[in-house]
Amino acid sequence: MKTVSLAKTLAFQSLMAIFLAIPSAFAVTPEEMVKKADEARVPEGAVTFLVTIKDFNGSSARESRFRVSSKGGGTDNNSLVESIYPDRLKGRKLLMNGNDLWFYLPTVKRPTRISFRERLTGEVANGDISRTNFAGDYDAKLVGKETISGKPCVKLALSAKHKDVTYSKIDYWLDAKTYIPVKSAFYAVSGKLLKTGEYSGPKKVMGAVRATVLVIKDALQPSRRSVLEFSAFKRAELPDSFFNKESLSE
Amino acid sequence: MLALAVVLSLFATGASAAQVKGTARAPQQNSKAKPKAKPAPQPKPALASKPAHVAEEPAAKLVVPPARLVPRPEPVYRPAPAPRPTWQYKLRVDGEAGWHLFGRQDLATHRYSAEFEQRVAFPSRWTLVAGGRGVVDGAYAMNSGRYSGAVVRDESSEFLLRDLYAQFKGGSLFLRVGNQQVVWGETFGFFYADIVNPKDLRTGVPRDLASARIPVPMVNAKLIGSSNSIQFLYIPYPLFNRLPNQGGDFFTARVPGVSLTVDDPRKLPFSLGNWEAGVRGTQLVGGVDLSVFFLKSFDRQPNFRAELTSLVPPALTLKAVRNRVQTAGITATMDIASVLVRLEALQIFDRRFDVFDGGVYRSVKSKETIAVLEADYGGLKNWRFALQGAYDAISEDIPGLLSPRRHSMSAQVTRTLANEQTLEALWAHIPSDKSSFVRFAYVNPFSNSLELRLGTDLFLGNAASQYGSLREASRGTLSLRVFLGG
Repeated sequence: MKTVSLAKTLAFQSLMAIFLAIPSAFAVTPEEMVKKADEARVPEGAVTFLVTIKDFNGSSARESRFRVSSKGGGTDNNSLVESIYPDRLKGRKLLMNGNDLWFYLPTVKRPTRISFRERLTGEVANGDISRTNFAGDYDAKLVGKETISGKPCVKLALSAKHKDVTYSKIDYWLDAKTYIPVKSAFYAVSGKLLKTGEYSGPKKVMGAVRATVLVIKDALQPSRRSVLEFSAFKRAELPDSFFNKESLSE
Repeated sequence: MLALAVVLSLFATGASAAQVKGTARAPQQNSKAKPKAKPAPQPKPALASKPAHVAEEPAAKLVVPPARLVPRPEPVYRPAPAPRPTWQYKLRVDGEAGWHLFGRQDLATHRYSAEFEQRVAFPSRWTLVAGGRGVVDGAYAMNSGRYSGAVVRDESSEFLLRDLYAQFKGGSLFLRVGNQQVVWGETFGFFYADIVNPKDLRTGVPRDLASARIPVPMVNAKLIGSSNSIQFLYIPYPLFNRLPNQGGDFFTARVPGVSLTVDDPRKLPFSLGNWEAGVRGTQLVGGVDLSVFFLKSFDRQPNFRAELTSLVPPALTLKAVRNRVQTAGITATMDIASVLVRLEALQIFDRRFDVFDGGVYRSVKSKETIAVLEADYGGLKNWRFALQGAYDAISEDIPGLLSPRRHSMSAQVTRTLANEQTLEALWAHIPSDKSSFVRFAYVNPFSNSLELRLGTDLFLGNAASQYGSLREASRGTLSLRVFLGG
């Protein structure tokens, strides 16, 4: 009887151990949440897409359009942003290869190294459009749960892994079920709030629902805002040499 | 059966898993009550209540045969080759008026130019490019009291052939053959490592560096890796800098009381021996963008041989002489906490310098070393700052040479205003002769294709200094630029 009882006890304990282990195995870590959120913005792998940016400053508005070719993920993320509208800015290119960024001006005919923090247009920094994933650049920490517009969200605090990033700190709110980004707050090294971002326009793109609209607002002057719309996603064949600055000539 | 048929037909037509899930339920209701199946409701494309990848997969398992469960690589989108070549043109039309600011405040420029480029891209990865620029400047005829001689003949109107080449881009290979520009170097402003193409220096300090470069016929081949590259250049027929014409604002070679004639044909007789060649390698190492290069070429600047053509009245002819030089260099750029640090170092071997020593005009060979260090900062939202220092020295002690070692420095500030208007200020200074060049510019993009620019170019310093000798050329300008195509 004692043997049977011991066997039962061991079996029960083993089952308990398995059941207790299951939730931790399925728990999504903050890093995985950020990775899912990245995927919900731009698909991984080699893709091309269009970004339309409308800059609003009070009552005036300006539009610019860019063709983006992107490949890879994490810190191996490469992208080429080409200006296609307006006419006077056509031919300008922005190339990101890992943590390095170049700008090509047709009036100079030479790629020039620049910084991620420099402004591209309106409220949009170079890194906002060329650097489409946070998972490779930031460490994530789950700091709480909040409800935004009736939607339960998780709040993550992202801190830069290295100096070559657009922002040193980001507060990031994701849908608690889908991990699609909902809101973000971007901070300078000093801790000063620079901009806020609101993600919307969910659409099924390349097999998954993705946020296709991002509104970036100046933290001090909310009337100054840029609306980024992502569209026309396509898989592409992009060799590594495509993202070398030496390929940037027209 | 109806349900199965619907499911199979949807599977055959490649319907999404979410659609399959919706229709799989519908036939059960229909088989009982309604003989005709209604289209099943489609799931909303809004934010899914479950993660998208979770919502789709269970439904797909209901209908996908086991053999199809083997994961297949995602199909790669390959753009279909265009059945026809694509044609693209660019047209830029500039109109500019300028007035002298010091001395006689009269018309300095009244210039219209149109630059056109046609590009034809073939499906075979070849591209053909042809471009030209036409310029008309009425200031020389309208202000004949100031302008005379070669500047009136050569610069009142002209047509210049610009880029004219065939290009192949495929995988790691880049090949371009024809009239083209090749740009080396990392720093802004002056052409230190930008040594391949000659420059058009007739209009002073250029605004658009690409416009000032003179395209040269050459073969340009590059092998490009993910973070490195190697480039080979072969130039069968060299071209040279266009120097300011006599009688123009930027011509400074004046000898008081002597009539001077410059004989500079800017070309060599066609010969297989007049080739030039270069090689350049680039490598990105730990965030440092490195390049090393070597160019065997003719000096883009001429040396002059002086010939006394008349004693009374005194007249001198300066005949351009072309000498070979070899240039080796290294450039590097790195991002240090959003400050871009750029470095260029060049060694020019066998360069000749013209000197007037003890009443004798002669040409002396020496080695020249140039080093440039620049720091740019664009981390503040609407501001951009750049500082540059340059050092230029020759190795030989040449009596009669005015400045064997020269430092120069420059600073640039750009401020972006509302609606993408920009204000720019550039200050370049030579400490040894205390002369400066100052440029202010305000640019307003009125519309998507129209840009207005107001600017001043100021040359300051005493009459014997480098910038001060151009004081009379200082000007204020108003220009309109129209962009079409692209």
